[in-house]
Amino acid sequence: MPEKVAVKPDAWLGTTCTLDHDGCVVCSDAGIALRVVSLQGEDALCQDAAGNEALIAIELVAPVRVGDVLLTHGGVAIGRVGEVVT
Amino acid sequence: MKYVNEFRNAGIAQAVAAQIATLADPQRHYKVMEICGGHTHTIYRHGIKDLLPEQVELVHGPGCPVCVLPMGRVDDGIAVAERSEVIFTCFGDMMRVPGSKGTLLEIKAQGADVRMVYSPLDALRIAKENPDREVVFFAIGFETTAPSTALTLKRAKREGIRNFSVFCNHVTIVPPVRALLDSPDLRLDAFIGPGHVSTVIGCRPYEFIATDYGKPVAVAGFEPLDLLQSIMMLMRQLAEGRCEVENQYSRIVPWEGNLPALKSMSEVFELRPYFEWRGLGFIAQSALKLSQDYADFDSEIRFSVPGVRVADPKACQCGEVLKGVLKPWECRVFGSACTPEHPLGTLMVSSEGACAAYFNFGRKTREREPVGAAE
Repeated sequence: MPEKVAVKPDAWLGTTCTLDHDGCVVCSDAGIALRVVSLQGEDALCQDAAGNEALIAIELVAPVRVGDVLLTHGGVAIGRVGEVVT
Repeated sequence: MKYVNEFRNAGIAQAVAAQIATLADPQRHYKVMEICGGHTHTIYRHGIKDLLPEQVELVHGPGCPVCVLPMGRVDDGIAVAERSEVIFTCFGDMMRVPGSKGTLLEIKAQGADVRMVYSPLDALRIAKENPDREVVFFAIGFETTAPSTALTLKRAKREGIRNFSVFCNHVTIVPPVRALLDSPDLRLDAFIGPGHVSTVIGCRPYEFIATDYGKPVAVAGFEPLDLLQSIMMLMRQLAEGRCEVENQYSRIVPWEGNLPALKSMSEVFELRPYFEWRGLGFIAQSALKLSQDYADFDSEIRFSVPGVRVADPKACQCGEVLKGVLKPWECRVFGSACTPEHPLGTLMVSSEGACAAYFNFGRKTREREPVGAAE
């Protein structure tokens, strides 16, 4: 799983930020793979390997099931990630 | 889930690098451009460049959306952010991008209500929580990010959130690539296509690079082995005299892209007739603005932004670096007047900018010619 985390609290700005240890995941046009934990209407609660959770809009990749792995960017799922079999 | 370790295996990386060396003609010099800033970051972070044979040169492309934004657009954003009724929201890197009179972070320190958000949906939530304030979202990014702005605007319209608007700076990837291909001072042999942009637009939009310009393309993922494999695919095409668009990142990128995302974008956006790119100048139909149906949510209409045009600092050579004419360390202010702490040019601001990536991962010094070499 990615070393990058989806959301990291950023206390001094009083909001959440995407600045992980090596850059801004939004501005880099990079996506993050997250697994769907539960469905909440148009959104899904998703989790990365580090246990960070984020609410992700899923209407661009619907239908989505719990356990699916989505490519997410800026709080929105833009694709699906195929499992790599090794 | 298996997504990272498999793509960072040192043994496989060395085997692929050896294959690339076998495919490279020792009498030829190869220039391969990675379009996406995320690829630039991976190349430096993982030392990909050091695994390649000498005759294979990687050229950094214009694919960092922060890096290509002209100073005038930052100034326009700041003009909106300074209004007392406005809560101005933007992504992290945008806070530090210098306009002609400062950054969003600096005006925040002076009292402007500027907030960093993770998603445009967070900006919409702020608008709902502050109905007596105007909430503006500074939208920036290629086709990877544009769907999130489109989806947010559709929700805002559906829910009737009237105090929300978007200052749209979304750009599209194909026109600048075409501009680079038409540039007389640049000779490129092949392209590494942007993986996550292609998740949205698919691989088909790059076909003109192969058919019209005779250059191979490999759409690639962001792990070290993704990049090495894509370079191997390109070298194989060049060795065999083929010119095709290949998809190295097929575990994520569908050939046709994400059709619901493209449909949402076409509803919410329309192409601007032209847009200024830092270092590349004005490029026709290379950026997005809100469509007529969403004009009520357009910050540029709602606030009458000044629309200033500002020339880059004279010492700054971001343009030449963006076009791949200069390497980062060849810029006259690299590592001296321009550092990640005090960036002069945008390529030093974002960690995906070629200069910041170069600076942060060990290649800090300018590579100087030895004394007497010029004689």
